[in-house]
Amino acid sequence: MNFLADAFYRYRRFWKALRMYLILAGPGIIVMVSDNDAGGITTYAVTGAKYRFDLLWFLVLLGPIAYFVQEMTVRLGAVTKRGHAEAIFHAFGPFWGWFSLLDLILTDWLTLITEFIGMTAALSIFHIPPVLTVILVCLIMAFMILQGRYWTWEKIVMGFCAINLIYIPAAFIVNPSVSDILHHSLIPHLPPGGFTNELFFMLMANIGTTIAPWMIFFQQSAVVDKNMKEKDMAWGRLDTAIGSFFTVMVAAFVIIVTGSVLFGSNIESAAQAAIKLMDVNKYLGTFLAIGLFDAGLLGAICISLASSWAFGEVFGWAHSLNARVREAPWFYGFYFLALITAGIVVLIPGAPLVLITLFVQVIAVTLLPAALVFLILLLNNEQTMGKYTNTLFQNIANISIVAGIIILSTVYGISAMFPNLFG
Amino acid sequence: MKIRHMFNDLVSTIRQINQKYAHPALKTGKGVQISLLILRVYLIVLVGLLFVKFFLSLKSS
Repeated sequence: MNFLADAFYRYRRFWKALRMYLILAGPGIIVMVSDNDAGGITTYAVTGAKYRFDLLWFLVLLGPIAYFVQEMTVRLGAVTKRGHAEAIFHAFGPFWGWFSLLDLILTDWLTLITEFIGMTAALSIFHIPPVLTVILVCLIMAFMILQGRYWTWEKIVMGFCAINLIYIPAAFIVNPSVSDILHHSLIPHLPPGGFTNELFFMLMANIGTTIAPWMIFFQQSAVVDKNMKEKDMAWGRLDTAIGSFFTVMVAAFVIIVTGSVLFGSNIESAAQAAIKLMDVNKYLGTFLAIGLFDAGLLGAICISLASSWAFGEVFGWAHSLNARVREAPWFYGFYFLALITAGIVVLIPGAPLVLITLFVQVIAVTLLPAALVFLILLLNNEQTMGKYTNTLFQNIANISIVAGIIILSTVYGISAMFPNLFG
Repeated sequence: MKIRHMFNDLVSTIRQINQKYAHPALKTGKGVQISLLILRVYLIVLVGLLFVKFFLSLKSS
């Protein structure tokens, strides 16, 4: 009898905890899954085609790194009740505030263009013209944002996050060797051919798709808009940890699919990989194309919101998804302005899309070190954070991550601008 | 006229924001100030490189 009572009590406790988590889950999972945007899926597809499973271990390492960085935004948002842009203005003054804000707006807008490039390429596989794709995407995003509730918006986005798992059945279709995958995931090693410039670029591209400046701004603003409090922080951390697990899992499954089927092929984009996969198995190609569209859509949803939130915070406009259009006209106006102009750029014949992609990388590189340094400084400010300042372990982990990223991203940024500089 | 009015509004809003945040809330030590100075130089160099690249791209095209 005691056993039954104990089991019932545990069940009730578990159910209550699960319900609490489901209420508070969102920002962490959304930011992490959206991190696998159109550019990310392209990077993973190319990684698999070039190095098969040889870089899976590197992705496994990137999961905890993404978690450590994003977890800081949960604490900062829950304690200060300020978005990241406002927090920088408040703590560091107007110079750094404007620098971060303008850099974010420019990076986000350029990245939004790359999301549209991915989405139009994905749907063109199904013979849908780019102009129709752009209109469709704008309508979906308008519907999502204009319904007037953060909660509803979040649950719709979670639905799109679930579609991102489409790469899992795709991997089961190719039926790869599980022991081979586990071996490559758990034991760090260099691919055959050793450390080359090309490998360095690929590793950096993978880091760049895992940690991006907009993620810091987005998650902190989402935590504030969701009205998460200090007592909810543990759930926010769990949400971020689950999200980082999903981001690595989705990335790994894309690599498993392209590594199994397209290894040795000269692949330059995820859309190209999807077309090649269609020749092998039509479901594989279809899954990759749907996943690419979904990834671009998720990226577009989060990136356009990150900018609008940041502008709203600094300019003092109403900037909540719980506000109606007439209550927050600037917030929604800015959102649609960024979205529609980015969509139009993709439709311009002969638009310099390659140059845009290059500048997205470089501008993101300029913002990333600044954003990460500010994050560490803010999280060590006892006056603001109280008992939630970084612990010694968190500081060692985060400062090591930030120092590593600053060095690598600088080399990457310079070599992206001057490809022949390092021979 | 309306555009001029909007522009004036924007300038005055930016001035208000600059005044509001004129005094950074974070009290920083010497080490942090030096780090921020290094960061500023780093960003100026990177932005400079960006301009060089932009002009090289223009020249080559």
